[in-house]
Amino acid sequence: MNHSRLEAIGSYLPTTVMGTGELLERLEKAPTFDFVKITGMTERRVADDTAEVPENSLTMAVSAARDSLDRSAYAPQELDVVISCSISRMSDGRRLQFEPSFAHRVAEEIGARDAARFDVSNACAGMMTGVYLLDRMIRGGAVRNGLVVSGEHITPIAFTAAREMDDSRDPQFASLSVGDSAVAVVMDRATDDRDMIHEVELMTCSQYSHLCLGMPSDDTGDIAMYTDNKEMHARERLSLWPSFHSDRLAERGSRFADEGYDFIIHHQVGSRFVDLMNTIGERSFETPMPQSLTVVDKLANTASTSHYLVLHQALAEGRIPTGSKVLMVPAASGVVTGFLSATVSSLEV
Amino acid sequence: MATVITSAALSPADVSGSSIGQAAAAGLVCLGRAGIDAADVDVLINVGVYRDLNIVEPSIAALISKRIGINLDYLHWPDQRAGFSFDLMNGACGMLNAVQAADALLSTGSARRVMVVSADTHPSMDRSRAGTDEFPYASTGAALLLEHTDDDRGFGRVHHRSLPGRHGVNGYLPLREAGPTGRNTIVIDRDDDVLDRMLDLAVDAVLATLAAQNSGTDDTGPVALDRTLLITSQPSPGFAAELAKRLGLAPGFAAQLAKRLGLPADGAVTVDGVHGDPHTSALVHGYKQAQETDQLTGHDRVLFVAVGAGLTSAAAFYRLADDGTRR
Repeated sequence: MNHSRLEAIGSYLPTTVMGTGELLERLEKAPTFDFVKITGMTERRVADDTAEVPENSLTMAVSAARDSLDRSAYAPQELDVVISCSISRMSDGRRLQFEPSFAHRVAEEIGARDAARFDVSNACAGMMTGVYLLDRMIRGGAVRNGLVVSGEHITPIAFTAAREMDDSRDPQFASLSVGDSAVAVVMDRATDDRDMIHEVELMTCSQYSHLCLGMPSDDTGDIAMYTDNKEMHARERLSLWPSFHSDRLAERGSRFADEGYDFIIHHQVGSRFVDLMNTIGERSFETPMPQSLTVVDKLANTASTSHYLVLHQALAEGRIPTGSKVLMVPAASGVVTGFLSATVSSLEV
Repeated sequence: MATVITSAALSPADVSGSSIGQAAAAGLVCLGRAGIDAADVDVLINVGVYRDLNIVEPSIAALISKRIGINLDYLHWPDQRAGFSFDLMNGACGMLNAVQAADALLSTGSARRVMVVSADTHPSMDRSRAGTDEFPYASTGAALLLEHTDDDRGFGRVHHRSLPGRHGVNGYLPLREAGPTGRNTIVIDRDDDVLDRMLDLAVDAVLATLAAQNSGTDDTGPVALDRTLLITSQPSPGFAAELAKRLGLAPGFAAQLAKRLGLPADGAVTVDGVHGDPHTSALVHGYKQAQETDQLTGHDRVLFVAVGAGLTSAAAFYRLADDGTRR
């Protein structure tokens, strides 16, 4: 057997809760609108990077890494590699950091002194890309284990949007949908089929790489994100996933219905998006979709951590029975799609 | 089976100050040299750090892939072969981390060809602001095409080391201070003693890599440095020469050795003709320069060594073809 597995998972959520009403009160120019109806998001967590013990992408990533290691069989110094996947590399008082790598800083903080370390950046598919790479590194024998971590202090884009957007059709509209969090997973080689990543396959369709851009604002400053929602979420874009997924399954003579997925986790863009993805999946694969897990309501879209935060919360709530097969479907700017399927039994929160 | 460089290229000198444009231009030259199409690239990894307008999303790799024409749209792609792209960032060490990642993708059959591209630029894309005291990095790009082959060539294991404490180099955008100029602002803080610390770490990295090879923990067998060409990151113009000196590959030593062996005297490649530190592109710059100046001839191997912010280092041997010719 040559597979990797999710060996442990940990998270960090800021304690500050911001209701959607409170966020919309920050709109400076745009008339208010029913954001809850459009997205299903009633609240999100917001990191406080001005607190005495600041919450930012780095400190949250370190907390999530420690949380995962508390449940892991591995001590920090036994880790072979640390991969950090944040989009929002915010640290040290709203600095957007480019080097050293966040992975280096996390590794130093947690005491993973011998681990190789590097950052992966792939928009909201970042953690999925980190898991994909670590899966291949474990299967290829380059490493025995590793940590994939992402801390997202991403809500500054929501506040930039609130300052700058003109109305609900503004390119910054989607920026209102984000929440802060951090998640970390420890991975190693699978020892049986009770805990195993069966496959993780990813694809970038670069024709659409310009449809969602995150960068500093040249209007009121800080960081911002500009999304062409109409093009990004056009049916043809969304059907990239079932097309790619069914082709990969067909290569080994399988179909979606044959795979026995128990749960499906989509990117947490909003409740309508998750429903739409499930509808498109059902039509394309011609089979009912597995039970859909989300955290959209209370935690919103936490960017690169979203699928793993959903998994973490579902485990915490006891919603995933031992031996469940979980399917994750990324949807990220790039545009990136694909799928990860894993059986989880020993993973506890 | 080892990961082999099947094509290498630098961005043409006349490309704009866009890191996306430079990486894409290098990638296209690299493809042309290899005689393959964009559709033949399965995975594109971008290791550039400093980018146009400080864009953080999507991956710069996706924007570069679009310029090169890699997997534009799977639904309208003739052979339904999917391409994947992502950024891997670890300063000057990123290129060797990407080699390690590529090796995992190639060895598991996840990819047949991996292209690694790099480019750094001042976020304003104004070339006159690159290679200055404020922003010491050169505005340049590079590309490597990596594949697995059955011959004796290829990369050995990539060895990493890190030092605790001060990071030596901090590159960041101070969002509050920058205000609405964040797309054109970048701060690079370098400790005064960073070059000395980098040299110390580089020496340690080389000795550890050599020890791992000689103790048989690496699968490419024992190796001595006397037939090894050193290609390093270039945090200062004299870095490679100074490292060679500390490793006993100094001009005096190398000249004596070379005289005995009938080899050229220079044991380390100092990248010429680039305005500033070529940073994430330094190793490919060094490799291409060594190819073009025939500096590889007479060497059995290249030792790639990168040191960067953290401080961190990465080092790997690369076994050359027996006849001294390389692509």
